[in-house]
Amino acid sequence: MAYLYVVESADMVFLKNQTELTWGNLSSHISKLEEAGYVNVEKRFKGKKPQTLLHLSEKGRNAFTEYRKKLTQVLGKISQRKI
Amino acid sequence: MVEDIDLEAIQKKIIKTAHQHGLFDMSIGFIYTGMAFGPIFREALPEPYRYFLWPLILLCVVFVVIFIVTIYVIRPRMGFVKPGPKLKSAGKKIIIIILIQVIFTLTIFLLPFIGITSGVKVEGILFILIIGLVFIIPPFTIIAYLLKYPRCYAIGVLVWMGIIINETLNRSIDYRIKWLFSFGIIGIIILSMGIIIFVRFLKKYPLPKKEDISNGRY
Repeated sequence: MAYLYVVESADMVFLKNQTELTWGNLSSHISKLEEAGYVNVEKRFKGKKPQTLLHLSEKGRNAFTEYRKKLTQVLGKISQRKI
Repeated sequence: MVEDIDLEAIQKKIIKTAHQHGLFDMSIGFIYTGMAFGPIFREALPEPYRYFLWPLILLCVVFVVIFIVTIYVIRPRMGFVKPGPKLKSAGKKIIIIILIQVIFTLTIFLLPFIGITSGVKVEGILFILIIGLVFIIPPFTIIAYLLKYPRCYAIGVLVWMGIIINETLNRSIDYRIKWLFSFGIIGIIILSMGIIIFVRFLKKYPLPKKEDISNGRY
């Protein structure tokens, strides 16, 4: 989701190379995110080759922003306790 | 362990994909090697445009090769990505900087034709410094910084070294041999760097297998 957050859209090949996940692993992640409504999956053909294009939905973008905010708060509390 | 998601690092990683295939290195190396043969080949070109025609031919070859290799070799391996707003702004900055540099360079070269700098003669160390510090190092440094592309600093220095070698070689040597020696060696070094990176890229990113395409994962 972090990769899709910083780009407008990307295909499966690009995400696989960036995340270094296996095809199966990446597919199952994407399926779950699609079911949750966080990722929009668009299947199309480029010439004769199929291409799966992915981009974060508005819901997914908001959820990720919220998740990051909470994570930052938690990490902030942890570092304060250490001090 | 809980770790914050570093979006900056992810963005840097994505920006780096733009030059990890070595195509830019190979292009600069090819143009520089081509320039080394310039004095030999441009003799065959028609007057009065022969000095502009040779670099133009080299640039056209490079653009055609970049276009074909990007579509048929790099994109199927790297995949497709449409950049987000931050990445787009970095791209726009690079285009603006290159445009400014091109306009500035053209203005400087056209000044003698208008008659403004016709009496000024720049040569030797001053010529080397002006060419390097005004025309070569700034664009390469800015591109290297914006694209997180450390190799570009080295390419800039190598390109400048070509000019330095050409300018400092003994004036009694035939200018065609001087060009072959100075730009040729530097061009081949940059081109070889690019080829090594390109081969590594091809090994690291093979084409997706047929079963992945037929499974609809592509």
